[in-house]
Amino acid sequence: MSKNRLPLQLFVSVVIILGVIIGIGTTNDRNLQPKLEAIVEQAEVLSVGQGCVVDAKGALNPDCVAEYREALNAVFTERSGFPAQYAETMQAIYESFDESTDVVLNNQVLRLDVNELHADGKSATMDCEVTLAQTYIPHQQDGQYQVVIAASKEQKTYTFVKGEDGAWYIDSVVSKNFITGTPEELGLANVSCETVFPTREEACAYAASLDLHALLKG
Amino acid sequence: MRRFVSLCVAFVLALSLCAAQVLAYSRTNATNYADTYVFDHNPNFRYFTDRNCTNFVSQCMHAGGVPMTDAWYYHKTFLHIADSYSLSWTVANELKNYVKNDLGALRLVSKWRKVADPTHNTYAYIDNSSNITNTGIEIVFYDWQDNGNIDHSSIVVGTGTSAGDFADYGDLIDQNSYDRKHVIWNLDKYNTRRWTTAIYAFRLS
Repeated sequence: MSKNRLPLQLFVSVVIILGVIIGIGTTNDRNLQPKLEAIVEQAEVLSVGQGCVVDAKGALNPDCVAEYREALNAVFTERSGFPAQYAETMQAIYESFDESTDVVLNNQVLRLDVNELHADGKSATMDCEVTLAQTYIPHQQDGQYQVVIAASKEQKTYTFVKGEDGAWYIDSVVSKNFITGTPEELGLANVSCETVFPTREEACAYAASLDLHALLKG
Repeated sequence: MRRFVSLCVAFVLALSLCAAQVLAYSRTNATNYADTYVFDHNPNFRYFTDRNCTNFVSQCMHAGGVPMTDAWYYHKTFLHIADSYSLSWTVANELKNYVKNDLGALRLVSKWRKVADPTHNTYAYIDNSSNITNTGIEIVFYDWQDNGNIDHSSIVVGTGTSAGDFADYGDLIDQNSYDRKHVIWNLDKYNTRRWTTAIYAFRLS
């Protein structure tokens, strides 16, 4: 009887030991994860939202480029290349801005599913799936303004480094399987959207009133 | 003398073969294939969930007459148990390199970025007025982050009003992942990364 139970006891012991080891390994990750998730959410908003040169009423924000640079530097390392790339894009949009410029008014991370997180004291790597939606207002050829909700899903691997100030920064991003489309195409709820307005101001007011989180089913 | 004649004959034959290969490119066949299989995927090929775009474009090109080679191929096996295919058949960046370097396709512009367009909200190089239709097989490549690595591909199938959610007029593409038929080639209103997306287009034949 005891001979038969020995392999079982051995197996249970191994499972318990492994569990303890894994538990120890993820204790720190659990503390760190919310911080890194918040950084990722901010990065996602910035990385897709560089069209946000207008305020909620659709008027050009004269401080947008400076504010944008500051926000980028709080999230990304310079080495990542994103602050330079995105700020350059924003600057170009700002300089050429007129009544026909398309704008992104708002974008939201709807869901961030972390698959894996590895961290030591100085660096971290996080694999996750990001689901995102945004309100986009393109200027139509007939002169009207359309309100569009675009959505995307993708698998991403973020690498973080801890700065000298003790804060975490995104150092690199690897993306795969990026799929973008209408919310319905991506399995999200279909929020009712009146699409065309005669002025940008009206379109922006309507877009700002939309609750993008309502796109999440359940 | 006989040797010279043989060489001439061989040369002419080789030229004919090359010409036949070029002439064999058929836009009609490619676009018909695209329209037929964009939603109802051809069972003769594997379907790669969420990443079938380039597999689909390669099939269209092949249907249009682009021959398989050692560098660009798909070999089917029974029940797809051990299908083999080149990276250039299934990976957008590799297909772009193949189309550009091996097929010598005509690159329509160096690169296009939305913000670089002086009219702000239209995509300049394949627009409504261009003579893109019926001139060849045009393949469009998308680099979502403009980081030099192509992420997505589609095939131009005509010009008209988009059949998607947005009734825009212009050159239309078919694509897989996400599957779309006869939608505006620039994907602008679907794309959350439109401001950083770089688009390239190549014309075969």
